[in-house]
This record gives sequence, C-alpha cells and structure tokens, in this order.
Amino acid sequence: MTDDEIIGLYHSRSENAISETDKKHGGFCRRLALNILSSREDAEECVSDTYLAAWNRMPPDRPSSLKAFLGRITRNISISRFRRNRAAKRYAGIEIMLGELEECIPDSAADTEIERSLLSEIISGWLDGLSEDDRAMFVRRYWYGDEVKELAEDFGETPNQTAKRMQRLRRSLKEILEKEGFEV
Amino acid sequence: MNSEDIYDGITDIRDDQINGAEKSPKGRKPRLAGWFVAAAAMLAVVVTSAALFKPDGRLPVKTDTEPVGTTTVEETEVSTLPIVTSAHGDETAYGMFDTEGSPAATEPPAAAPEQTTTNLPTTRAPETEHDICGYPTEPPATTKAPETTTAQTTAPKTTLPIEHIAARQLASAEKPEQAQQPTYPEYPQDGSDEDYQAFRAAVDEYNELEKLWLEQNRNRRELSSEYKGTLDGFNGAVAEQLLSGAGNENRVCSPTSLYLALSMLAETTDGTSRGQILELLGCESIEEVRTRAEAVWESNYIDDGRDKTLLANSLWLSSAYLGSYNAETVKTLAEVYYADSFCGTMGDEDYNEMLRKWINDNTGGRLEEQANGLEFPQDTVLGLASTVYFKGRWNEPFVEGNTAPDVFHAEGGDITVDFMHQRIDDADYYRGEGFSAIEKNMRGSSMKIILPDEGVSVDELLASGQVGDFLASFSDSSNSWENRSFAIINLSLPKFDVASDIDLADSLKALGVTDVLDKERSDFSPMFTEGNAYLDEAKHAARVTVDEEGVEAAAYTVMLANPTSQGGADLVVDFIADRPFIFAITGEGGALLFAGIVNNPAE
Repeated sequence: MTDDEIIGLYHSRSENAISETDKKHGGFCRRLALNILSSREDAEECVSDTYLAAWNRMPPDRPSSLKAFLGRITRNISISRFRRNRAAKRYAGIEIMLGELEECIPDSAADTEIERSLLSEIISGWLDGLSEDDRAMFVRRYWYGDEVKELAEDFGETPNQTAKRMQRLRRSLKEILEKEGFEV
Repeated sequence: MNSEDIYDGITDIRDDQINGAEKSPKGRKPRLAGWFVAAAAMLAVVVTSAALFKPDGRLPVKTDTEPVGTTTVEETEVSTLPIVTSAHGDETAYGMFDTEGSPAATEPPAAAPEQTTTNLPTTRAPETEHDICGYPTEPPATTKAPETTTAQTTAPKTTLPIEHIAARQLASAEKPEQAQQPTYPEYPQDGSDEDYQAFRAAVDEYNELEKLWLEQNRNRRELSSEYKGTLDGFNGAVAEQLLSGAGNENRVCSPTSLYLALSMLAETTDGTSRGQILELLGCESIEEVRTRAEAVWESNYIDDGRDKTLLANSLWLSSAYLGSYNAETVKTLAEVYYADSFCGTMGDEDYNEMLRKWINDNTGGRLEEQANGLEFPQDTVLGLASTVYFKGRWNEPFVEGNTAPDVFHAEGGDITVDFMHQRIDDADYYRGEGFSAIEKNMRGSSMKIILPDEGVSVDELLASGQVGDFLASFSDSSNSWENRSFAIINLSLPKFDVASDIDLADSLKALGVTDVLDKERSDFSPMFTEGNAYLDEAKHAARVTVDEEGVEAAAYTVMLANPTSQGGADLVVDFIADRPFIFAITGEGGALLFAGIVNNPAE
C-alpha cells in the first residue's frame, strides 16, 4: 500500500489505517523509539501512542512524507517519556546522544530559551551546506539514532574515524549556532 | 539552551533531509537526493490449459445438414457472414458475443454495431430458438448481413461445406461484479469554504465506495475458508510432478488452472473416471468439488482497477454432436465454473481461431505463441479450456537504478543477465533441508523464491518433497514452517520471462488420473445423453514475467531499510538467486496460482 493510500485510510476514518501503518512503518518507528529509549517495552508503548497521535492528527493533516511525519511524532513522544521518567530510569540511547549534543551548545547560551522552529530552520540550512556523506551521517546519528559503530560499517570507515567525523560536525554546528546569535 | 533543545531542533528538520539520509542497500553509499523513482515492478503471469475429447466410436455423429434442435445455416446465407477463416484474422466471428472481463474484450466488426449491445447474463440468450443445451441456436437477426469485406474475402462460399455451422459463442459467463478501488479526493490546500464543502462531499462518497471495496476484500478472504488447507496435497503433488524433469529448460505451470480444469472434468465424468479425479482433488463428492472450485474461483478473481487475477473457463462443443450434450451438465459448468460456451465445426480453422482468440483475450495476449499451436482435430467432441491471468505489483518495488548485469550460473554454463537488487527489512527467512527461501509480497498474494543450496539440484529438491511441504505451510495465515527467522534480506533476483508448454497426459497418469484417458474405461456419461468419449489431449502452457517496469504515473518514494540490529532482525542474509531456483505465486487461501523453475533467465 502506498503512503497516499494509507493517508487516505486515515482521512476516511478506516479501521485499517493503523494496521497498514504498522505494516509499512512499524519497524521504522520501533527503531527510532528503541534508539532513543533502549527499552523494548517503552518503545512499544511509544509506537502505540504514535499511532493514536497520527489518528488524531489526520485529518486534517495530510503529510507529504508519512514516514517523516510518523518519525517526528515518535521522537517527540519518546523524548517526552524520557523527560517524564528521567529520574526513575536510565535511557541509554538518548542520554548518550544528548551527551554528544552538549558539544553543540554555544558557550554563553546555556540558559537561553529559544524558539524550536527557528532552531530547526538553522539546522536544516546548516545540513544543506554539508557534503552528502556528512549530512547523511549526522541525520542518521541524531535523527534516526543509529549507533556510531553501525554508521562506520555502512560508510566503510573505522568507528574511530566516524567518531572523529561526528565530533567535527558537532563543532561545526556549534559555530553556526553561535553565528546565528544564540550566544546572547 | 541545552542539548535537548538541539535535539528538538533536529527533530523538525526537513522531510527530504530525513528521507535522504535513510539507510542504503549493503555496499552502496547513500544517495542523498532521496530515491524518487518513476518505476513500478510488474509481475505478469499467464497460463492456459486445454483438454480435447474424442469420441470412442459409440457416440453418434450427426452428419445430416440439420443437427437436432439447431437451425442449419444456409449456404447462401453463410457466404455473407464475417466468418474469420484466416489464421491472422482477429475480427469477431459470426454470432460471437462480447466477452466481459477479459483483458482485451472482443470487439465486434464495425459493420455490426448491434452486437456490442448484447449483454448476456449467465446462460442468457437473446430471443431466438434454443438448442438442446438451452442456448441460442440462431445468431441475432441483426447480425445477418453485415457488409464487411472480410466476409467476402475470407469466407468464400465454396470453402464451406453444407453442414458447416459457423463458429460462435453460445453464452458468455457473467463474471462477478467487482467493486473498484476508489481514489481519494484531492485536499483543497488553500481552497475556499465551497471547495472544502465539495471536498467533504467527495470524501463521503469515497468512504461509501471504499466500504464496498473493503467488504469485497473481506468476503474474498472469508470465502477462502471453504477450501483453506484442502489444496495443499493437490498443490504439492501437482507442482512436483509438473516441474520435475525440466532438465536445462525453464518450466512454469499453474496448479490453480489445472485444479479448475480438473474440477470441470470431474463434472463431465462418472464412475472410476470421476473417482480418480476426486481423489487427486482431495474431494469426497462432486458437491464438494463444486463448493471448493466456486470458492477458489471467486476468492481469487480480482479485477478492481488495481490488481488483476482473471480466471476464465470455457467449453467447446462440436456442432456435429449438438443433439448429444447433456443440458444439465452444460448449465452446471456455466453457473458454477463461469464457463463460456462455444459451438462450431471441429477441424475448421475459424473454430480453431476462435479458441486461440478466447485464450489470447483471457490471457492478455501473453501466450500467443503457445496458443497458435492449438487446434481442434476433426473428430473432437468436446474441448475444455481454463486460463489464469495474473498481474501484481510488488508492495515494495525494486529500484530500477539498482538493476545491473551479473552472472547467473545456469545448468548449461554461466550467462550474464540483469539482476534486480533490494534490501528487505523485517523479512521472514526460511531454511529447509537443502534450500533457503524468502517471500516477496504483493497485495493479497506473494511470490516465494526457493533457492536450492549450492550443490543441490532443483530436481533433487523437488524429489525430496520439501517444496510441497514448504508451500503447504502457507495455507494458513500464520505460517507453520518451523525453521523460520526474522532477517534483513539483501535480495538479488534476476529479471526473467519464462514460458513452457507441458503435455499433461503423462503427468495426469502419474498423478493417478488414468481412466479418462483410456478409450475402454472412460466414462463421460454426465456429459452426453448418448454415446461416450475419452480424453485424448491435454495441454498446459504458462508464462511468468518478473521485472521492474517504468510506469509514468508512479512517482514513488522508495523507503529503504528499517530496524537496525537493535530494532529487530539480527540476521542479515544475502539471498542471491544466481543459480537455478523455484518460484511459487500464491493467492488467497493458499491457492497456488503459479509455480515454476528458472533454469535460464536469459531464454
């Protein structure tokens, strides 16, 4: 079934919408949630919540990429769960990622409140300027949550090389954020 | 600002950046423009099987000019009719009605437009005289004198014997009406209130149509419970018998087509002739045969605008024996098996041509080469034909750009052919004694690819009985094959277009159906009011084409890859079909639509 057809099922309030979504994108959503939470049980619940959210948002939403749409919901739900339970539980996946991303925080901006959409716009623009491999690696590491070891394998590098490359990318992002005025 | 803010910011990057970074097939670097392809995979399959009967000498031949219950066509009248006698003529023959539901419906000659309006129900007939079978014996008056040049040039009166009955279709089986898959209306992005109202109305209409369509799919699945699991024995035995001994050749068959043809054969026979067929079909009684055949037919027949599995059956009567056919049996064949019926003079080229045309019409012209060899010998009393036409689209099409030539280790030596490549996540990977297998899905159907282990030949694997057992494990929705694991499959599959012709007589004997083929023992009493016949010829031809074909309307975003080793499948399998392999296409309820061996994809 194509994504358009699946979206059509949501718009027609068809009971099959969720099962078709799960068939096609379930694996992808589970992977995202699991990469963030490192707990199968919690990831499974997040994926169920994702489907419910998708059901509530379509209609009126008609995403141009169903996969990215579902992915964002999964990420948001997973990170909410992480925030809710961070004291009680250790979610290895996201904690490692957040630890890495600390390198991107502009030096003088630790307590600045920023607008999420503006930040995304800046990150998207920065990604556009990267080489294809750099962009894919960064998105796979921090959007998909893929492990460095796995990225190294897929890109034909040693894990050490990939780790260095990621470090370079994080510093580059930090520079951009500082340039864009987040250092206030 | 903290790292969670940045994480949130990354969450909302653009779709193309997310999709473009998706994992790529093993060994390939990601291409970041994203994989937008205007391509779809096509799987087209065609098959036909036909059986011819000959009289055993006891059947009275009508040699006079007036067969019982029919009207003789006068010589002078015949000469003006557009009878097609040329082997290349593709115009309809006199009195032929339209064949609804076929891939290429018969077009009547332009000079006789009245024929196009003929819309017959099952066994329905226009207001004309009826023969013993309850079918119209006379062509509609409106078709009496169409002035076509074809008529004069291809049917000179001197070539037609006085007892000649123009080949014609007696009745067209009414195929079940198919709810079409509706298209979702366009959402008015920046439309006015009126636009939105119109959109809501269109959505309501869509919902109604979709309800019908979904119900149809549900009914189809429910119907398959009539025979679920009961076809396993037949499928396994037939596939193993028909596919074995292919040598270096490709071999294709359709167990479903044979199942329906044998069911019709059971209707026309009695005694041990019928008993042997029932045993092969795994049925206790003829009533059971009917229930199952009807369910197989109806649950697998799909023509909903998106998918196509067309099944068709037909009955070919000889004008010389019109008085001898049992009307009840002919009616049953039409009602239960959706059999179209025809009448003509056996041995005449126009009748042969009509048979070929029927086969070509019902198989989308895919078997033209094989159909060209079909003809009715003069002493034939009855012909049965059964076709299956299948066209399915992969749920996940192959990306055309990933197709590349590579070496296939054929029995006769290495050859270079185009291989399609794809990474399939969340896939079931099956292992058996001497083989491994995967399944690639289409909607409502799937193709299994069974690859013998290196050093094991296709014939050895078939002889082991494993293939039949493996296929049988799919007849229930929850697969019961034990050695099954969850894997990421790196699939390499050659594009292929394979066809074969099989003479069924020996295979039927090997499967235990012997009496119908024996002049002395056959019993065709349900078919004839007097006399008898035996099965003289049985042919089976099939063709399967597998590829990815560019389709202009299919702008498709291909999403590759899903779970990582963390997310699900731990096993990564390179499934490379670069040596002879077996394939099977299954439909609803375990119906084995096609099975075949690819020994040489280049042929």
